[in-house]
Amino acid sequence: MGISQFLKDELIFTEYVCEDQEQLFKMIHQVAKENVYVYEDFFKKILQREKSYPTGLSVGEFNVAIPHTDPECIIEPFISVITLFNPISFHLMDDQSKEVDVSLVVLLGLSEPHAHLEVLQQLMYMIQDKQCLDQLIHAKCHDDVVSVFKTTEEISNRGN
Amino acid sequence: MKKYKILVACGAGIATSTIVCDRLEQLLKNNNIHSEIIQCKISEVATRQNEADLIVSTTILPTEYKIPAFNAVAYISGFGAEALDQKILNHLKA
Repeated sequence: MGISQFLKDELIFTEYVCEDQEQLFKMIHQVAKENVYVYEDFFKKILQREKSYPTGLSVGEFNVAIPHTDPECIIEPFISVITLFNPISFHLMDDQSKEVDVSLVVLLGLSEPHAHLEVLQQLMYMIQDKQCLDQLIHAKCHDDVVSVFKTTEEISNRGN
Repeated sequence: MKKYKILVACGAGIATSTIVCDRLEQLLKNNNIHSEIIQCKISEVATRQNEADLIVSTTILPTEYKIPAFNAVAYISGFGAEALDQKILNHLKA
């Protein structure tokens, strides 16, 4: 199973302008709700979950966040990719007292616990690979994002 | 040979703990450490700690536990992953 099949055109945003997490999650929620990917409680849940268990990751030059929440509020699984025009603040996954400016958000709307190992591994590969991360962060359009995902998939398939 | 029970936790018990479970399974298998890995939400750890030897968590630990706990964000970010491997092995072999 490849990571790119979870991408939805309407949930990829490049150089997106927003103020903070709440605005970002609200926008994702609205789009996901219109497309029947999530239930009504998604927004509340993801905001709450990010507060209790933040998902900011410091990966070298850039910071990334991978917000996700309970599978119960997902109808159809998706991965939303947002590159931010101006970085927004997230707390670190391993240190809630620290905030980092995040330039790339990969929001995981996964519905089945434990079932998405391969997809998650591909995601981690992208985050940990400097070149991939660079390309994602500097993506200018949909196609740039999709292309990084597809390349990662190919590399991952070759490895298996 | 002792069989270790390891609780692998993250906030939702769905995403980051899945990555950590896989990494640990490989690590322990390659080092011939007999173990059972249980994936759970961090909120379940308090009630399940009595059945386990070790907690490996990607989120901040909300409380103190009776058993040792390791933070595993290194497996997610990639920074310090090998060092964490060693730390966990040293702990289990000690």
